[in-house]
Amino acid sequence: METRLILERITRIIGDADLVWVDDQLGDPYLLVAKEKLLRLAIYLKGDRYLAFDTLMCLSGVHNMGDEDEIEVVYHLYSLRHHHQFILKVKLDRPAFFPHFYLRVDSVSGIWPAAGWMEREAYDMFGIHFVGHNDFRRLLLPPDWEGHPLQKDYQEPAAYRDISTTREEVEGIVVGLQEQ
Amino acid sequence: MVNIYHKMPSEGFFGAVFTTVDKALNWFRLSSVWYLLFGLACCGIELMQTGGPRADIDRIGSVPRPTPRQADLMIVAGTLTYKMASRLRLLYDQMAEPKYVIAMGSCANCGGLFQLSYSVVKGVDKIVPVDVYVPGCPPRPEALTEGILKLQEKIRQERFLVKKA
Repeated sequence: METRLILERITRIIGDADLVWVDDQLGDPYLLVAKEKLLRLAIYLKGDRYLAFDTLMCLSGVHNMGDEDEIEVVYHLYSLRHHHQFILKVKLDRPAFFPHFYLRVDSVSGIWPAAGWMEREAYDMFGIHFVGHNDFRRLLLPPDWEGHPLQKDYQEPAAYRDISTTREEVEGIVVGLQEQ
Repeated sequence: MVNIYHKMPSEGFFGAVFTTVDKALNWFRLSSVWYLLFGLACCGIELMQTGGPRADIDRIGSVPRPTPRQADLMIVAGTLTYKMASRLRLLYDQMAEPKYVIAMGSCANCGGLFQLSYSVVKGVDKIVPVDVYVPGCPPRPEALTEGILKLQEKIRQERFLVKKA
């Protein structure tokens, strides 16, 4: 099914409130969903016989730190039955005060089990909490790690478990990148 | 190191080897430096190649061991992350004394290419004491062979039976 027809079908059933179709020619067009509507839309996308998005190809995060500080969650969906694909995005505000409370979105791991590890990785790197995940902990980094490294304001701590994270400069040898 | 006295068999003396116990012990030990397989990244491929038929460090007495209990030498080949660091320390502690460590490649020496990364340990010597650093990215099998020969020179000079002041 063409992307235009997929979009028509979604808006006919779900309604176009809280949905924004973004086709800015900068990349693949995507559907921006309000985070309250995500779970309902995901269930529909998988269950509808004409859409049948049975595969979650990729779930990833993006941190935009331009005018607004926000984190996006991107869902790449694919239908093995109909061989069409679709991109969903959810934007989460990241206010300076207590950002953990706002970085929350419903987990889709109950709908696509493949989302389980990808959501854990997204939590690892961006600090997005996926509500409803049944085994929610860090995937790649050790469990006592502090911070989320792909957040753009991440500061590397001076030490991890008393291992210093910098290389001491040997006399006469320049180590690391130097500012010109 | 070894003095060989030899007389003709007709005189009833077939030859003898004289040396000190220290030198003999060192000789035995440096001739059988068994290494623990610790390939963490692409250096591990070169480590396998070093044990293979072309470089063949078996001929200088080094054979791979899959368990720390039987190993004298740990060749840390590759990028060490903080998550792996505790495992490295555990395996090092399980090795029997005397034990040695070779840091193979730039990543194991100082973090290398990933020095500005958040998850990579900036040098194995922050976790375990390192005897020989082998530079390269990755080092060729000849370089690792040279590293083991350097380690053998180090073992040759050790004194175990003499009390240190």
